[in-house]
Amino acid sequence: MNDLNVGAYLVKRALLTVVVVIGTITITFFLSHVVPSNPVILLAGQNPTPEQIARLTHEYGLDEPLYVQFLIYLRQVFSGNLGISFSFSLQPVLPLVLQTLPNSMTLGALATLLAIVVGIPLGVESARRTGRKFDSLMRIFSVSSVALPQFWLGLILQLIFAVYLGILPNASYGGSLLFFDMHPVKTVTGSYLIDSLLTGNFVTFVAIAKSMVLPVLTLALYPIGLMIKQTRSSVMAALSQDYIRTARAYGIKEREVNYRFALKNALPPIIVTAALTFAYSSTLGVIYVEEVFNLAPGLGFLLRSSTGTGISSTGISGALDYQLILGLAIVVGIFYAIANLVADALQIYFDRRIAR
Amino acid sequence: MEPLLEIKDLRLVFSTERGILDLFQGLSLSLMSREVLGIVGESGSGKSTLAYTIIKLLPGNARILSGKVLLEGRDILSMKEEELRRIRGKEITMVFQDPSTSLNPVFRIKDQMLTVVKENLGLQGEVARKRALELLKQVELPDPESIMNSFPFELSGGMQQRVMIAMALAANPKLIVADEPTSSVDATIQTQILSLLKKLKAERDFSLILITHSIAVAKEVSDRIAVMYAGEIVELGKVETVIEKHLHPYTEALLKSIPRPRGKSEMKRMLPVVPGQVPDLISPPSGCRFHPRCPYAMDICKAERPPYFNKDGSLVMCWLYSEER
Ligand SMILES: Nc1ncnc2c1ncn2[C@@H]1O[C@H](COP(=O)(O)OP(=O)(O)OP(=O)(O)O)[C@@H](O)[C@H]1O
Ligand SMILES: [Mg+2]
Repeated sequence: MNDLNVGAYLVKRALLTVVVVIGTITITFFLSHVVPSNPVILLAGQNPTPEQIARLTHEYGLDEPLYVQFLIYLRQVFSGNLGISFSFSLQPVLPLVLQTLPNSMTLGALATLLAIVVGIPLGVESARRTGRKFDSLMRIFSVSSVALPQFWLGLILQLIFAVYLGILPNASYGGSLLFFDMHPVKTVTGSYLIDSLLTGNFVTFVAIAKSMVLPVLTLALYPIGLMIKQTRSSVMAALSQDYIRTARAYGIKEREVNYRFALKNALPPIIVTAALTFAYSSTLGVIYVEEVFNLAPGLGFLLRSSTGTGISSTGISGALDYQLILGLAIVVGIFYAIANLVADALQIYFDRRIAR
Repeated sequence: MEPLLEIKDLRLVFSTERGILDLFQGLSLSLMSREVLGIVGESGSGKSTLAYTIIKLLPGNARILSGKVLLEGRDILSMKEEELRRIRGKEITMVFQDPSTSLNPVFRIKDQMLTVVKENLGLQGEVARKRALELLKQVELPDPESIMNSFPFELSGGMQQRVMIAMALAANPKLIVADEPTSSVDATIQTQILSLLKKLKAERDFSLILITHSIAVAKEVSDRIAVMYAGEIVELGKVETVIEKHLHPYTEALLKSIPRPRGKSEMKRMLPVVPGQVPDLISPPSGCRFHPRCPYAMDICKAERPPYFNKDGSLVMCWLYSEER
């Protein structure tokens, strides 16, 4: 296999990624301006006069034509500045997002890991037992996991494990809002779980880990169902191929036939599912989970605030915080794009024919 | 001498959406040690299904109603999966028609060869690797090292088929079943692969079942030829007898369909063109399954399935050879 081919292919995909991100910015920018809303009311204090609003509007360039605002914004983005948040007392958006990202990513990564570790074997077993009881059971499970509302599942889990059984904390990182006052964690990566581990704070680590069990389960249920479904169908397709018959004709053990010869061929769509699961679970997926389990800081919390549906620091809701929305959209977009790129690279690693 | 392989009164059907497809209605065949048996017949005659029955690797909708497949007296059809696994790849191996889909596309040749060598010879590490290289040399592949590191799609069809043959040889099997090993490669490669099989056969003592469309190909390597039609072996005999003193009208039609080779090396791959259609086995013709296409068909052919008649040392399933006639 020619490594040059692989390199060229990946560069092509990376360029495509940049195009996708710019597309995301453009669409989000114009979409977020479809709803008339002036974010300066988030700044103007109580009962602002029309003059005050006009002055602030001018000051932030919000009275310029939309395409001018767009070009200014684009230039700003490419110099690494995502603007300022009107709902978070004019803090710059980028650091705001980057601060919240690690915790949400940790949730997303754990949910994805769970989906892979649980979903793939169940999917493979389902594929080799098509039409039998186990397979029907898995199908019921994956359909219902996709249909089950996340916040409802979260509440039920809280009720069972925290309220009735009392074996896991109900909400908040570490189990209480005051946890970090008593157990400060030095910031390294920004993820509480990882930082407590890195700084050797095992008691704290265990407490944080315990508080993340229910959120991760809640977050992972849907991806697990999805992963079972995807693995089942692509392993089934692989199992009907000639090379599987060859493997069987050569006396290869059934386990190896399924988990090595069939699974590797079935991987491409599974990898894409895993990558999208990770992107989704780290960003949009955490919106409800972080709310139900009161996990902050996190991306979900920011997303809610930016659309005026959460509580912002100003206490005023209902106005769109454009720059924060855009910043989040860009970060989420980049996240998805990177996940896709990684998926592409992994697919090539597993099947060289793709880059031909 | 006891035969190596004995198929006794095999009855097999497929359940399909359109109904029951009645393929084998009591098929018997035996194979001696070191013998090469060519199985010839048109598409749909049941050659591949017969091959898969021998290692009991049938599609899910196949049902064996009765019969035995005895390998040195042990009935393969009544074996459990684990027992079968110990026969497959060790005592009986297969070479498939289309090497480009029969080799796993996402594993390097070495991963596939080594898996087979390790599983079936119990070798490990460097020893296994050496053995795999040796096998690739035996099938006359140039530069085995680089072949080992290739993916199947990087090899030509002929090379892929040689790799398959190397895998088939790995465990020194008693029987190799080759299902149209040359029908997906061009004429020159076909000749090369056939002579490779002949050479290997001379060096080692396996039995070979060579399945092919072409009676010309079967003639090249076989000791005996079985002619199959619509799930029946209609004629079985020594190569010379079948070619020169063919008995069954279907064999005659097959022989007529051989393209005349122009050069000596040119053995054109061509589907036999026998006039008429292969019957639909969901509602097979009554009596002899060949009667609708047979120029010599008589009344009894429509009414009754012919038994085997012995003639010139061959077996033939045709009323033309009935004594009472
Ligand atoms: N899984 C299956 N389900 C239903 N019918 C089948 C199945 N496999 C084979 N058949 C039918 O059984 C008959 C014999 O098929 P088989 O593949 O054994 O023939 P063949 O002689 O190998 O043909 P070819 O030369 O095309 O490979 C055909 O009529 C075919 O349609
Ligand atoms: Mg066939």
